[in-house]
Amino acid sequence: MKHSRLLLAVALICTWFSPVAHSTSCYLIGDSVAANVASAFPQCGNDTQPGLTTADAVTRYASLPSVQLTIIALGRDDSNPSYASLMKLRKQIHSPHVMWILPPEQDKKLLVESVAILFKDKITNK
Amino acid sequence: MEFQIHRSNVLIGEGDPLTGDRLFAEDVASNDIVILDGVVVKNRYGSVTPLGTISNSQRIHIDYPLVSISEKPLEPEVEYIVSPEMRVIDIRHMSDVSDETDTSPDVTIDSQGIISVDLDNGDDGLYKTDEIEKLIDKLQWALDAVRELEDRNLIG
Repeated sequence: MKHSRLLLAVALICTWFSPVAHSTSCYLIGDSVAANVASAFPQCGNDTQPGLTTADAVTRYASLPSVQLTIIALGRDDSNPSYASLMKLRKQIHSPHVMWILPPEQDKKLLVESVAILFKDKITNK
Repeated sequence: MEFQIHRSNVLIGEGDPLTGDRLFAEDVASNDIVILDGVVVKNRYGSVTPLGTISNSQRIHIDYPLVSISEKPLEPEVEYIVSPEMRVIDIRHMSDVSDETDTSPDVTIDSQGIISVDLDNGDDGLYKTDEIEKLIDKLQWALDAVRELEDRNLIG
């Protein structure tokens, strides 16, 4: 029993640190910023839409692929991003690792960051 | 891929990038951003300068770098594309690079770090500086994210 647990732990560690797993297990979603970033990481899958609002994102990303890392950029193209929509979207993401690319505007940044903190997600562009 | 972009120290080339600008290769290595075949730049004093009035190979410092308009795609064999420390900005007409249903400006960064900016919502040959500024801000923001993702080594 102890031996099988050890094997499982080793397998999980290998999966996470394996370059193959990293290179094939990321997915970018969101607005024009996400689209720009996605083009720099062709090894990741993506579904982006310039001009995407947070409300529309909830519908668009109702079903997402199972990946290790999901990267989200939302808010920049949305004149009135919604906290409720961001929360709803986040609950639809089941990746073990999630990273938010914060929007540049301070008020939007705080909004997105508050969701990220709640879920203990990573953030960029702070 | 490593991004080293600053809002200064920019080399501007004009004319045919396949001939005269090839002479800039040494300069390019020490610059972060190269502007090719441009039409206008906004200089540090805020004025918009037609590139045609700047003599060829002249290097100027501007606070607002990445402005270039080109009606033809970059040629992949051009020498100055190869330096990993620099970025070539290529702004094209939509008809060259995108579908006609897309009416929004678009910025893309390819796997070599070459940035393409697609402008289709101005008249041919006439581009609005404020739109270019918005594109540059958007691009800069995306580049910051790319750089941070690379620094953290989260994506193989």
